[in-house]
Amino acid sequence: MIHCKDISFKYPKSDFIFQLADLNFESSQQTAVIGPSGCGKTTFIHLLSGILLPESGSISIDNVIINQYKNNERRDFRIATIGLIFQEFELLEYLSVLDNILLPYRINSILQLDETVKQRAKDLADRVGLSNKLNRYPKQLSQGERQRVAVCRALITQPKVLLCDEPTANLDPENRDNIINILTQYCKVQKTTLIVVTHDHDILNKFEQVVNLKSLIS
Amino acid sequence: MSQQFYLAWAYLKYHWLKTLVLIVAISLVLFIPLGLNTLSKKGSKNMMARAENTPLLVGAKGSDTELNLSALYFKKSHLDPIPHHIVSELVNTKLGAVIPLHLKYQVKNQPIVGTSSEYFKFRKTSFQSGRPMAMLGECVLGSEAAKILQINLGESVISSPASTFDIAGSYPLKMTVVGILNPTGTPDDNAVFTDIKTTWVISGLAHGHENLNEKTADSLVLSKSKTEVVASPAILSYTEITPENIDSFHFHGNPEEFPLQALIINPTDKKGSLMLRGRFENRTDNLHIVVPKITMKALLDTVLSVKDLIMLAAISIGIATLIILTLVFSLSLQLRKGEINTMNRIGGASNAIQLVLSLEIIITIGIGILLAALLVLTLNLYGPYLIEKFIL
Repeated sequence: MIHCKDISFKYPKSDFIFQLADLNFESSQQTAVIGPSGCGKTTFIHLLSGILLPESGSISIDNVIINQYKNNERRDFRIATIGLIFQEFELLEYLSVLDNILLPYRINSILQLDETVKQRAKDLADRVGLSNKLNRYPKQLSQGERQRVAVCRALITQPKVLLCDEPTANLDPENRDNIINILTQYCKVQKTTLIVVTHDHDILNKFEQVVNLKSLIS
Repeated sequence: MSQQFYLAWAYLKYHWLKTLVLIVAISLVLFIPLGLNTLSKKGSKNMMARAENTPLLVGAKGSDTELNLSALYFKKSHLDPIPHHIVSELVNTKLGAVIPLHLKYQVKNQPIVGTSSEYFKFRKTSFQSGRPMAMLGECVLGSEAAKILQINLGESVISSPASTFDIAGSYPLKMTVVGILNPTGTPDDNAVFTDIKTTWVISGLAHGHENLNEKTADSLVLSKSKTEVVASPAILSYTEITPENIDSFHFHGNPEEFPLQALIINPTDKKGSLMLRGRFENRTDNLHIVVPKITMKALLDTVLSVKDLIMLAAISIGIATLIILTLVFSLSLQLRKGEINTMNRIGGASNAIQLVLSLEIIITIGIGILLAALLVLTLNLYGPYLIEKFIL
């Protein structure tokens, strides 16, 4: 369970203040978070994942208050517990599809890369239809394929929580539906908590819960 | 660390052209001053060694450097000739051993060194096979010359004409190889040694031909009297000296006046050296004496002062290049801010990310240094050859 309590956050040299009184996400629940542009959706995802730290309040995942962790501990916790998908895919251009999927295992030693993980990466790629493109580079892929690689990278660590920041914003309707189906089905099978920030109202019916951030923040 | 190395290597491999340019720039920045230093040190050492082993040189007045390069390294030169009688004149002083040098001809590109068998003792060269030349028309090959000419003991080499238009003299002479020297790592390795008289045969000052007498066919004779038979150009001149025809070889003119290019003098002692030098000070003819060590040192000092200037320029360029490289690396980091951010946001450990970036720089610089070291090593091995081939 994810619990946000009395969160307050402010960017340096900015008037924008993000304040959230109370918000819970049940384990295995699939939630869409909506809200108008500039309301703080990305900030919210970054706070939940521990990329940003609230000035006050607390965020806990499975009773672990992540904002009490030190920087390195928070990174370790994030890479082991949370899968992140970004709007711009953010793949490393110089890595092949397979190496992009395995990236988390190469940048933090708390994850150990072995043959099982490599096989899992191949299975994930197979599941999203990329098994024949494992040696290609991001430049050689379509937008939809790139986002599927990003999805695999987020899922390779078998996270308890999957946080997605506008994962379908750069995709056509076909690829958008494909990505959302992959995410929801995977999370349902693996009992992963899924939180998707989106402004695309056409996909809201795929989620068990929809949270309008605008109504919650002050 | 292996995972970070994998990422760093993947980055460098993907951007191979950029990496290659950086590596080449780094290796050149290091190689130019280091290589220049190595080359000059090695070259100086080799050049000085040869000069130090040659106490005195006598030649026609002119450039000391040209006399040195010609007599020590057998480089093509236009040294004025000195008469052969100087040899006996100097021998009579009993102040040192005198070794004549005739340095005008070649076998293909290998210099023919006309000298005496004393030369081998003086240079302390030993024979891989065979013996020193003893008869007219015999020669000894340096180890490298034998390889280049692909000639074995007992086979023959033919001297090349000094000039295409040299109709009057320097006939191609077939010389029998009677000895091959052991490698010495000096210009001797590339030379074809023969007797002074044989070089005079090549130059046309001595020759052999069919015997002329009263019975010689009229077609081979220009005029005939009781005391003299004048041969026509149709008479057969020998181009090879054999035991059968050696007696027919004879000199036209006074051999004492025949030309040499230089003399090596090995004085009996320091006093002998000083006395010889003193005697040449007062000579009014065309001869002068040089101490190769002094001449070569003066030459090297000039070369080294030029080298110092080049070094200064190379180091300045090196510093400028390193500044540019630093700029390239920092700009590259700026451009990769997004990528670094992604790794941070995914949960990459900051030390692991820093290690990836550091390894990229370390690998690039490391390969650059390795390449520079390899180039310096190669230069170290082949430096003397390069100096001899391109500088001397």
